[in-house]
Amino acid sequence: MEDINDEKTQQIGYILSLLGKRKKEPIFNTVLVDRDYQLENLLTMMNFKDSPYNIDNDSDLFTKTLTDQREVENSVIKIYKEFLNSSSDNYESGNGSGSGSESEGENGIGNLKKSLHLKFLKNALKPLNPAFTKLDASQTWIVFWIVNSLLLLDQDYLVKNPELNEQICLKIGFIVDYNKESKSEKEYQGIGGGVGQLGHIASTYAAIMSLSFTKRYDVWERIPRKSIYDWMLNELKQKDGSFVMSRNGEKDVRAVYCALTVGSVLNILSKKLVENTAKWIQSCQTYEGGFGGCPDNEAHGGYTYCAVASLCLLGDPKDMLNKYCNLDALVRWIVSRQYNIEGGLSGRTNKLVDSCYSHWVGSLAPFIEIAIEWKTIMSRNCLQNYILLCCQNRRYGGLRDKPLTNPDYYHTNYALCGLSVCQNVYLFNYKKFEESGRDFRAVGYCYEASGIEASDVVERFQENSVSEIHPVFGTVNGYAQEMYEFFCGVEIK
Amino acid sequence: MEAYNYTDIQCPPPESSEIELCRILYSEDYLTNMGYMRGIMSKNEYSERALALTEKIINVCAAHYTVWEYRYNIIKDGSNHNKIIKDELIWSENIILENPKNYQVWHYRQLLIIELVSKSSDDYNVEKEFELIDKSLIEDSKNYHSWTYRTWLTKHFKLYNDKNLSFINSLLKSDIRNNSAWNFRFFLLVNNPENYIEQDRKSIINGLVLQKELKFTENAIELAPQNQSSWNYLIGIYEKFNLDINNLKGLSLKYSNFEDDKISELEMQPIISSVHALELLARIYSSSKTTVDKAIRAYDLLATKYDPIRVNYWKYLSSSLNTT
Repeated sequence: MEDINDEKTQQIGYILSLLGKRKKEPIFNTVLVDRDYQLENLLTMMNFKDSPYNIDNDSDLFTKTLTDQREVENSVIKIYKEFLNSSSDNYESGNGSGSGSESEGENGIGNLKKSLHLKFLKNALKPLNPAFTKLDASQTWIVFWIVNSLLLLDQDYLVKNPELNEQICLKIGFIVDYNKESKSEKEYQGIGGGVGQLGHIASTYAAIMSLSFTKRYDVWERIPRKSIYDWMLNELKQKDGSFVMSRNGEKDVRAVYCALTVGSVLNILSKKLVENTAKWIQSCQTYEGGFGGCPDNEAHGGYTYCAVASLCLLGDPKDMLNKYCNLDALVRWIVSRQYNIEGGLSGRTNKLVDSCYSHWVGSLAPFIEIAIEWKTIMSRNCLQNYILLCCQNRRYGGLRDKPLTNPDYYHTNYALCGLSVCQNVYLFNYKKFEESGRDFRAVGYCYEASGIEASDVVERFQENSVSEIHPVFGTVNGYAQEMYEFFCGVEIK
Repeated sequence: MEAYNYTDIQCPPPESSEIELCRILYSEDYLTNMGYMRGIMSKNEYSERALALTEKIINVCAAHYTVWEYRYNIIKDGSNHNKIIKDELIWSENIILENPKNYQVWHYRQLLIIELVSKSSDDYNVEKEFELIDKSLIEDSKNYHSWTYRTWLTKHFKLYNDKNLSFINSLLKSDIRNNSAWNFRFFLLVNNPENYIEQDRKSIINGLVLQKELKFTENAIELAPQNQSSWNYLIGIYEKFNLDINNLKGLSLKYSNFEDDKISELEMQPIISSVHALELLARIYSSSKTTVDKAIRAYDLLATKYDPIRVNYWKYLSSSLNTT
């Protein structure tokens, strides 16, 4: 606690007195209750907004980028200020006991509305309205986003709902089997976005990860691993080390990520399959430090995640990130994605915050923290505030991109993934990796998560706690590993 | 659109209707068309009616990559090849402008251009593609797909010309914070062979080009000192061409009066008009033992005053100075 200066202590004291509440003990000799952290953070952010140190205030050259940015900032400030006001009301009127908010539970405005989100997600378990025809080629993705979200909210969701587990097996199993049975082994084209659709590596990722959630070994056994391997090697893999998404499809770093994650959990990776791949990924890093989808494209959160997670499937994070990219530039680019007023993350320089980057960029933090040996590189609590206060739909459930937008399954999933990364510290078990003989096929399974201490993060109420996410696979921890271990004992055929 | 008859086609049954999970309630029309589509695809029929059918589906689901790929195969297979592809280019233009954030449409266009140029006997002017790209970028100047396509086109056909640069200039003129435009500018600078000269059998950047570019960037910083795009571009150039970052000290001090003597005497905060200038200054100070103290002070200011959201990062950078 030594690094927290007096000024900050005074500020906290001031904040608490403002809220009509002073703690009996010296603030920093004890662990603050979570709500106080949240308030402290928000007040610091709001104070910064109008302080002389906020240089952005001085900008007079208004261009579209800046007017868009101000618009979002204002919508966020409005929410934060309302929250601060309502919280101070609660304190003054003595609502609740203790910190004045512990009893709020899910009704507290700053808390995760778990039951509402569960309700929002459960709507998709029933048939979807015709507007979803636009996502006809992304059916495995819809299943993936929903089920991963459900598991983030409740680790035991599928155990408690075996009929849903069965539905996933049927739905995804049908898509997998259809392509398997309608084509000869030679013509096999991977798993598509729906029944009878051409194989697509992103659809394949979503399908395989969805099946991993089911823990149904009988269904896993039916996955045509040999055919998927041949398809990836012969149809998708390019000479330069990259992959394309599908036959005659586009080539970018998403395809690399999907191929490597699928290859990893099915335990079908080979040296030949990943020849030149790290080098190609390296060529996608831009002068800004992040990665583009292809060489020379702009650094972008989604592609940077795919690039970095892919490198971390080819070797240990410290080694790979030092060898195949400019790590200092990467770290700088990643931390630059977080904005002072919003606390949320953006996907590119001078673009707006969006909750999905809580995962695409937020989940890069574990790799970086391991590689540079620094415990926390981003402001976790500020990101949590953004997700919890700005991105929840409090009426119908679901999480959204930013204030004034509508929630959807995609943002619900990735905002929750981001929340999970805020709440956990990740370690890389080098000993385990050594024991595997530094086998790159095992490298994805050497990560260990532990909950972060209360003093590092706001809002560790039970209601706000979500399941651990695996930084490499982007799925709730444990499932990818179980599938990989299952296939370690099964011959490829 | 001409009405075709599909009644002879055997339609393989679609999904098992027992599966409720995420089942989309398609319109009757879509279901019928999709049934025909599956039937046509299963017998590899490349015909006008097949082409018409793909269009119907794409109009409802522009991301249907399977149908796009099939359409591509029809076009490739067709006789009177060049005429068909040129018609296709006109047709897909509207689809692109209606679905500018769709992977398939842009990629399809790329396949068409490759096909046209590889087999064409007449000289197709690929620069015509810029009209469409410009149009889409005027609508949304940061659309990643438009930029990806522009980068591919420029690289594939080596179109590092002044027209390309002047479009970038016009975008930056209307919004100096458009990072996509800056990124493309970097791509042009680094890849345009005309920017290099041969010296001792080594290709090195033309000094005049470089100076002009640095001047351009400094002017951009002057316009909006808090704009990270231009600072990133500047540092990017320095790193790419191995220039000495210490040469940027003067520029950094211009936007952060860190070395004003009165400041340390009176323990005032320096007046800063760019956080990025202060950051760069800290980086420059870190490179020499004699100025490490200043670097630590600058990082401390960033952490506590000017850029508190990155407090952990500034502490990290600062601590790595302490240990070395």
